[in-house]
Amino acid sequence: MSYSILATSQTPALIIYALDVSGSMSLKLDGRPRIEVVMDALSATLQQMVFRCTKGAQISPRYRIAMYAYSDQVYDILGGIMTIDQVAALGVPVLSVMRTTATDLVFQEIEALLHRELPYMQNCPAPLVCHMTDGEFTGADPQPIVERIKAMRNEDGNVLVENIFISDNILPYPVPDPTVWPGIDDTTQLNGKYAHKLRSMSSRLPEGYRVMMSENGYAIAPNAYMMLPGMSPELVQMGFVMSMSTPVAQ
Amino acid sequence: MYEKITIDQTTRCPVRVVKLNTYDFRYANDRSAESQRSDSKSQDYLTIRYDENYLGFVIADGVSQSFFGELASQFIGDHLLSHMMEFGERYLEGSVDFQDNLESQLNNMAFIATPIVNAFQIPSHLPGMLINVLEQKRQMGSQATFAAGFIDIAKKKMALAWMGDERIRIWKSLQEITKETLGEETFQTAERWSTAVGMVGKLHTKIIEDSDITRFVVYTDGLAILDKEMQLNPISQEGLEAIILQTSKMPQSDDVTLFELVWKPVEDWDTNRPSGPETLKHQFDTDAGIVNIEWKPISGASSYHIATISSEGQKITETQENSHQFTADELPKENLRFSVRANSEAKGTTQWSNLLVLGNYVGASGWIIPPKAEMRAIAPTLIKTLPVFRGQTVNKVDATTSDVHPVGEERIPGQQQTGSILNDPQQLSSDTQYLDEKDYLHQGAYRQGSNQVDTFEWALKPLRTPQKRKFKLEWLLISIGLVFLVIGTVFLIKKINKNKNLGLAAQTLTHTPTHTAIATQTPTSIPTNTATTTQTPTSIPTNTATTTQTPTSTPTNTATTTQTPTHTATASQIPTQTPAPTNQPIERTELPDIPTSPAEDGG
Repeated sequence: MSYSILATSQTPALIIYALDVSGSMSLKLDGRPRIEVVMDALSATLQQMVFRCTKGAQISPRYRIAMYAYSDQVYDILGGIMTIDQVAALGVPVLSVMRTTATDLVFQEIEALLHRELPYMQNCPAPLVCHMTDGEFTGADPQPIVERIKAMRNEDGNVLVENIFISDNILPYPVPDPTVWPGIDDTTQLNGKYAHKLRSMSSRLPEGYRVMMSENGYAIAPNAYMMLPGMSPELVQMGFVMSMSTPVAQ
Repeated sequence: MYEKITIDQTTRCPVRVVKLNTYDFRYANDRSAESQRSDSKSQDYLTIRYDENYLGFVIADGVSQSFFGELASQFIGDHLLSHMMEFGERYLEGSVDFQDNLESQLNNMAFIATPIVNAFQIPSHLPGMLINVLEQKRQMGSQATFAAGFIDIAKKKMALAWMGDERIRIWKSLQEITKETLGEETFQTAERWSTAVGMVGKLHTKIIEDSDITRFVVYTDGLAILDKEMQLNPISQEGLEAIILQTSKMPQSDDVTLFELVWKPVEDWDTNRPSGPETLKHQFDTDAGIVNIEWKPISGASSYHIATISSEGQKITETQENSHQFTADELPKENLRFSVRANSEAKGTTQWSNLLVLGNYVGASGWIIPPKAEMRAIAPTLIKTLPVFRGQTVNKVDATTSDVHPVGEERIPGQQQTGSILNDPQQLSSDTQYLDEKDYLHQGAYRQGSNQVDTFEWALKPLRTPQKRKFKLEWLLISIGLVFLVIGTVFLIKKINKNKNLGLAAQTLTHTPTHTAIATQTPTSIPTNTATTTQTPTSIPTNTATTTQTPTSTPTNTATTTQTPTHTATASQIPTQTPAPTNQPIERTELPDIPTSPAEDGG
């Protein structure tokens, strides 16, 4: 069965974050700069990872994390891949906004990283790429690269790609309570071409992830895409929770 | 007087056997691969008391996602065993309600355990993010699953209790009767005991009396690999060691603990018997009404034993051939299985073969294996991870773009425990000691026999009254006493603080580091606590209302200024705070002669 390998210290999950730090991330979301909302969500997610990995006072390195910020260039925030215990020691990263949105560049970096890493993680959970953006790309179309990434796989399954699209009007209706929202599927009406593009760039949510999400209080439906509309801080948070929903050993 | 065995959570306990006149038992424990690597404690715990007539045991498995699960497993192990030894006989007799009384006891134990958890000091050198998480876990308490029992050896009568997914398995000779005896789907990972609330979920209890029981095994989920083993053949010592070693090499390696009791006569655990016959198969001749069982012959075998096992029991048939015909009408109709072993003068008796399962009789077409029911239903864990929208105690620090860069064992009876949490002065509470002493006193009274009953009558009296009421009253009084103690302590602390604040207001201001690791994210540096940790002086719940936290300005040294509840430092503020090293108060220069209190720095 795909996506069933548990994240353990011997078979850690690799999660790659691609965070858009373009100028528009300084715009407000729910009264706060978007970048700040993202940092909050990332901080809570890292803590939750630590929560899941802690036995006694030891943090078991069940997650490996790579983190890229991108604007007109790509920035490797962690200087490579770090285990969750190393990230915990380092603390929550700090981002500030820059200029354009060169989405293709960051996916190129991720593709290269996966080419390097995948041969060594055949018994590990399938890697996950969590892409957070708030606007259309300004460089080349990233979709061909994303499709190549999605086609890469290990024994657990294909590489998963999740998209968190921070936008006020991606959905034609508000989502007042994310915990009862079923997520985006094929029938969900989306506003804007880029929203449709991001959906097609997103993987389906594996069942194991869905179960973990439900344990976190979310009612996401089967067959939902790994795509979240960042219309509120709660939905952005939900997106980051999804990114760390690799099943772990109890 | 009982002998006592308690495993040491800090090290491995290889398989040990204790041989008595009428029964033997063995036990083993090993830490998970991860715990071995980091030299941290096992969160499993096993404690046993025994003599020739009775045996009590508790196996507990600390929940790793709770607050230091080893605290709960050891606490529940020690206290529950004392309770079982004290009440076990009455539970077996039925003079005390097993379920009700044990439920009360488990819930009451939380009152004693909570102060131990609250007093437990988290190592101060840990990263701030981890400390935050551990403090969140502390609120939820330390948790453990457990299986406990009190066994009357002669009567083969057992009082069993469990919460969680410890495996309990029982045999009548070759026949495993676990499901028949305990039922299905009663082992839930979500059920556990918590130092914060007592029972989480349902307590399961069972009184079992069966003179045909031969074997009884309990093990933690780290040995789940055994679920499909031990069906017929007891595992040899060597085999058990090999399995434990095997688990430590698995990616999901967990702490493992096993306890097994066998009534005599027992098959020798020390002997490695050769494997049994292979490739058992059957043919059902519907016209003749014959079931033919056949297997691959064993070289040198003089005879074979065929075990016909079913819900009705087991029957052994001996034959000299490597096949045998049974009349279908005479075979059991429910849960039919066969196993074969060979006998030879040279090699002795082999192990029983793997089971040939025929299943249930459904008429002319013979036997069909019914859909396999899951032995253990795993419910979602009740341990919830951090609420994701909870206010973060990790302060956020703005930074410039320069923060990122472009890509390029065994205990001898009577011997005092060592390495024990409860023997750790940090974690010992007088309440715990009192309870232990009282438990042992009651147990002593109960076990002394009629000759000394008068001497211990005062101790026995409360136990003979309706246990439930008496116990509640006792705990109520203890609770009231504790409440007064806490209130008194709070007033005392307040008074001390008030005096401190009046005289040393500036010091109060400076001693509020959060130990929160806020990285300034310089990717070229390897993260170390000292190099990258910034002690931000706010967002710590222990701040008193009199503390001043105004990060953008020099704190004022008055006892009445207000606290800014959260702190978002601007980039320009960072340099003024970042240099403050760990355990060194910020703005310390104001009162250089006053030493820093470790308690205040502890976060």
